Parts: sequence; structure tokens; C-alpha cells
Amino acid sequence: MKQIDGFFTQEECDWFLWYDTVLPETRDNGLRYQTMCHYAQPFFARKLAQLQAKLPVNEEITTVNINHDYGAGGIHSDGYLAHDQDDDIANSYLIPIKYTGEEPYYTLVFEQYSERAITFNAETGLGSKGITTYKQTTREEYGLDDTPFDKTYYGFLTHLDYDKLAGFTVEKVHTWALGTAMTWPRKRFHVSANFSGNYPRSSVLILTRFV
Amino acid sequence: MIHLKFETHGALLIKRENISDTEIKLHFYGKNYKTNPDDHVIIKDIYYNDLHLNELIAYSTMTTDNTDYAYLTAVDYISFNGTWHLHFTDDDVKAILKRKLT
Repeated sequence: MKQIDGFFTQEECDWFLWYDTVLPETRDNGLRYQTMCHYAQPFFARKLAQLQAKLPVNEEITTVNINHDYGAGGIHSDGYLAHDQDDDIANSYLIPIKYTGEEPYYTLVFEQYSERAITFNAETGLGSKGITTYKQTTREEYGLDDTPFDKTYYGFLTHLDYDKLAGFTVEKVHTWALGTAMTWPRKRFHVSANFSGNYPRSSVLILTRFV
Repeated sequence: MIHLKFETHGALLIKRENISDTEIKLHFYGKNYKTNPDDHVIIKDIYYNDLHLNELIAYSTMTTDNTDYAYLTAVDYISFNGTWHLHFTDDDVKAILKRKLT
């Protein structure tokens, strides 16, 4: 779990912001506008090769999308879905491509994990906002205990119901920086820290599998 | 940010003129119709901002020194001396991607 400085240059950040403007479909999932990059399409092959070259040789890209967040999301893992359930899921790379720095942004990664892509959005008070494909789960279903959440970290997560965070333990607080990749194993639960929504905030998410 | 790949056959020469990120001209010259009538160039690939979009050929025109074929459109096979012109907008790129993805 690390940060990779200079993963994207300013030019590469700008490229994704431009690419987003020429793609035909952007979806509003309730907390962000999301655009799929169609990474497997032949027209994207040169860009895919550039991205792949930034990653370890034993990792293969399986998802690339662009997100413009306007609300903080819920706790979830980016594990497998039905179509890729046989994959040996690897890592998530979250790279800010638009970030003014006027308000600090954070992404928290927990010690708990799920190989399957699941989310606690409804359980922690967000309802179905932000959910398109991930299965909603509950504390009971997942098996969280009642150990109170460390209040040191609750300042990051005021958009979530404190009592519902019991049992979660934070391993890493990633601080956003333009072009810097924040990484974690896909199976790990993670969540955006709360933010005001007063400033633009865009990122590229890359998911990989082991090969 | 337009990148082209060519397949050249013979001695037809190319001079590139960059006009903007979305507009270029290629000046083809030097062809001798009497001694080398079969010389030609094929535009094999068009990249714009690293996207491989050969559909952009639809936005090309060409003026030639041949009176019967003085003005051509959507040209990827060049066998005359003349000027090939490619000009498009990001809206055109968006339309191409929409057709490819839907």
C-alpha cells in the first residue's frame, strides 16, 4: 500500500480530462459522474500500453474509468464482480487528475477486506447513492464486531453514521496529490473522506489483476 | 497531436504542414507520371491524441495536379502530386467514438 509520485504528468492528467469530453456517455451515480474509458477498445490500445508500462509486469489492467466526485462515497471493496469472478484480483490505483489543493482530500483504507465487490453504503447511511453494480451488504452479513471505531479517524468520515463504523480499523490514510497514484489491494475496504464539494475533484481509477 | 503512419511505394515525397492540433496538410510532390506511374502512398493509420481513429479519413480532402481528379474527398490512397488536407473538431471525434461505442 503506497503512493507513487508522478504517476501521471500534468499532460497526462489533462489528457484524461480531454478524453472525458469526447466520450459519449457519462453516468451520474448519485455521488459522482463516472465515465468508462473503454480501455479494451482498439482505438485505446496506444494509451493502454502507456498505462500498462507504469504498472508491475505481473499486473494487467481490467478497469479504467474517470470520476468527477461531488459527494463522498461509502465503504466498499473493488473486488470481483460476476464477469471477473475467476480473476486473481490485484490492486487499485486512484490518481487525482483535477485537484486545486484548496481543500485537502483523503482516501482511507481499512484492514478489513472482501474479495467480492461489496459496499456498506446503505448500512452506513448513504442509501443507494453511488451504487451501480456492487452488492450492498450489512454489518451482520459481513461479520463486523462491535469494537468502537477509532475517533481519531472519525473526523474524516463525518458523512457516515459513527455507530455503523464499529469493527472497522484504518490501516492507511492516503492524502491526495495531483498525478500521484494512491494504491491498495483491490480487496481492501476503502472510502473517501468527507469533502465540501466546493472545488473540482476528478480522478482516474485503474484496477488490475495478477497474471 | 495528429500522428500518421504511411505505407510508401516509390518516390512520392511528403512535406508536412502543421496548422493546428486538429488540422494538417500534407504536400505530396516529386512524382514522375511518365517514369514512375505506379508510385503511391497509403495512409495506414491516423492517431489523434493517442487514439487510433482511422475514421478521421472522412474529414480529409485532396487537391491534385490531375485535371480529372482535381478535388477528392476521404483519401487514403495518394497517387497524384497535390495537397492532402485533414481538418476536424473534437465534436467530430466525439461523433466517431459514439458510433464505435453504441
